[in-house]
Amino acid sequence: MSSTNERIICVPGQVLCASSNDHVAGQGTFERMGYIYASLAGVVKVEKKLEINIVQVQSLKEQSTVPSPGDIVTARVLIVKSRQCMCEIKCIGDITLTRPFRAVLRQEDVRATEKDRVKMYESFAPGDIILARVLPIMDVHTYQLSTAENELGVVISNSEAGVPMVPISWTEMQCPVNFTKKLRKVAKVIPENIDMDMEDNTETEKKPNIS
Amino acid sequence: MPVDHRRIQGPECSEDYRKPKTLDAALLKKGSRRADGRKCGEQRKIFLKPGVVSQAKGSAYIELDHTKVICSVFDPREKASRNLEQQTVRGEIFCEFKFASFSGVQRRSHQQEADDKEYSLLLKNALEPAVCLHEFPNFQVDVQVLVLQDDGSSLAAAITCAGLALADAAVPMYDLPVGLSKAFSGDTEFFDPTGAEERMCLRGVDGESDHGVFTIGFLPTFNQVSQLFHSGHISSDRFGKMISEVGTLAAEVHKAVQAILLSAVKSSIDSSDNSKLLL
Repeated sequence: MSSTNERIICVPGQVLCASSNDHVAGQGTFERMGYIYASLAGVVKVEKKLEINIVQVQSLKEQSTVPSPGDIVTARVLIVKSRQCMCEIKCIGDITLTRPFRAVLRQEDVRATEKDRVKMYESFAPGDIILARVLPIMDVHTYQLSTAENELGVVISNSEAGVPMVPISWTEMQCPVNFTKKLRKVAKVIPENIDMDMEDNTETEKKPNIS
Repeated sequence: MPVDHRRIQGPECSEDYRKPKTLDAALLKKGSRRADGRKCGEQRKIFLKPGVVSQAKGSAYIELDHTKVICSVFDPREKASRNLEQQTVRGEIFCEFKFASFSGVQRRSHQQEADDKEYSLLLKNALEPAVCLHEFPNFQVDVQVLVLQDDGSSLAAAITCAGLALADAAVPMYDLPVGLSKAFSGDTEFFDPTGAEERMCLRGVDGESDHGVFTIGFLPTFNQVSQLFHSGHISSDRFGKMISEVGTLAAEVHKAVQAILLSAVKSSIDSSDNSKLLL
């Protein structure tokens, strides 16, 4: 990244450069008739990656993010039904959304193994905060989520006492106040400052007991 | 507001059905100058300001002498309609155009009337080709336009204003749309007409068939007309001539919008402490 104070400011529809094998249209730009145009009002940034210059435009206002397939999102469970549960997407990755989006998490997307033997009320409860991945859009109205990975599932869940529960296994969480155990599909959230040795230990832990 | 459907709501005062013999003398003084001193092909001075509504993601305010329009653009939200046949790959723009009750000489209803709804659709048609709709599939962006004072060319001003507001809201666009309007009666043409000129040209003059008001939504970079709305009567070769002139007429407005947007970006870079941009 150049550290000069020269900044190229552009507006939508402004020609940035000619597109070629070296110069590729990135975020905030579009290519048309052999030229790269800006699609946002902001500062032009050229990122060099493996000999290819990616021309991007960074706008001052954050572009409204929309959940796209493959994103990991943070959602709150609203309603749990026997075959699916309705959720509300609160964040996409690190970005907190101003407007929540509705999503559906179906029974067959909760786990990777034994998909049809999943009981929704033993995996989630209303009010839980979950980490899920957005599936490719098939339905017109709502997004579809999946927690079929070790790192996805329930992150925060409050017990009846109103206290966040502590996970004790991949399928159970326990309340620290009254010690009652509740069944959830727990996410394997690896802390950022964990030791590499410790991480090996968690890898060898058994996968969720399905009985 | 309870509306009476059983009776025909006629206008409050009646107008002479006969067309005047000549154009109103008050509109043209000293031969070629218009009532406000402009030449026939001259645009009014534009005042544009982006980022005026704090609650909206993007906004803009435009003033064309006495025509004042304010536009707000909001974050994309899930599409309101649940129509299964609708395309899911594209996003949508939802436009709401409204003349404020105090915008004209006669007080208007606080709810959308027939012409508000028509202008909403025209505005949507003008803005849609300019926006990269594939970037927000299954979502709609709300654009709300309020005309604070109407002195002619309000739709054209709204198109320009909405284009700037969309750019201010960081909605990806192919181009900055620009709105133009022209009123003509016979051989006399008024570019960027005032309210009185518009009303005169909509009525027309006895003996001259060509008359009316043209409103065009234009994308200058690609030289494309996104929306064309004409009320009146025009011959086909005159129509062709009008279209070919649009490019040159739009250049001035486009330059103004670009300059305003560039200076707005520059001032927010200078004022913000955002170190990410300085890298």
